[in-house]
Amino acid sequence: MKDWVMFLDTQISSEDIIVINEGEQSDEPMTEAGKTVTDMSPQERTAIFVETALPHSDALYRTALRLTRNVRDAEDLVQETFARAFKSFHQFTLGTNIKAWLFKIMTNLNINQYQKESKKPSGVSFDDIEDFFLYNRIAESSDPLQQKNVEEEVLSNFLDEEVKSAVEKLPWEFRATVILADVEGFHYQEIAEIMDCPIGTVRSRLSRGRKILQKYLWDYARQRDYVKETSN
Amino acid sequence: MMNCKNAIDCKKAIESLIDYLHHEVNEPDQKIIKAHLDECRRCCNLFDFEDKFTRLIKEKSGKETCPQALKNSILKLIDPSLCCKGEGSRTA
Repeated sequence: MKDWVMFLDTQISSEDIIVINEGEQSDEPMTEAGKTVTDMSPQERTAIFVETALPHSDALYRTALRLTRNVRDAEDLVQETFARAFKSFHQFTLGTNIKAWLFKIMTNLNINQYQKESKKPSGVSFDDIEDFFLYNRIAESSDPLQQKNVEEEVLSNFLDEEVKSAVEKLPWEFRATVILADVEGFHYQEIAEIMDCPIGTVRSRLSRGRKILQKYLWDYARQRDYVKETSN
Repeated sequence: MMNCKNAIDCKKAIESLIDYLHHEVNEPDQKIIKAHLDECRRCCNLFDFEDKFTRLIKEKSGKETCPQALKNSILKLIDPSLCCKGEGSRTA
């Protein structure tokens, strides 16, 4: 019984106050609303945690893979996230969005990755990438009557590995935003709380992240001949 | 007022695209955009493509599942008694 307590003590250096207020009542714990975790016995607390937090391990893991870009670090990040979450579970308000709460913990733990990356100049300017990059490239390289078919073909040709590698190439803040919105389906408000930024920032990171992603994917499509370019 | 043909133009519709696709516009605006898409083929095609693009990201980068070994170690750090089941745990 002692080893996990020791594990928690050594792994966690500081406790942040983590509160996610907004949220849908999607993770319904088997307790009356408003009851705090503090009111529970340790057994009850563990049971609720297992029941409500652990089902999100797949979502956290796949996000961790994209954020860290390798299996080893992703595993460490997910494990650390759950350790931190369990230790801070008394701060969690039952009936609020536990998935968002877990993602906020993970994002906070991964923030050093962001700091590491943002110090390294990427050497690439994203400002001149036009909106709807992929759509426009496909439109200009296909017969208008065939455009729908070409779109279908290009999109279906992309391999999982290509999409994942394109996502992983995005700068951290765009990558995290695109994943949270488009893979995990979080609302702007939730993402704003997870990433601790204004909603307007979420929106612009999402737009920009998507068009950078489209640029990367277009490069793959051309390299692999997913689209035959017409000369114009 | 409903079904007003010129309630919004293409520029306004396109400005709302990212919010519309992420269900971030209120219901009245949603109706206005929807009405525009019903009658504007160009915008409709673009919205449709961007929606497919969202699904592409979700489907192709959202499949991995947490390895069982990792799940076990998480369980172990939360409640060691839970993961001993099936591992030949003996009770005295």
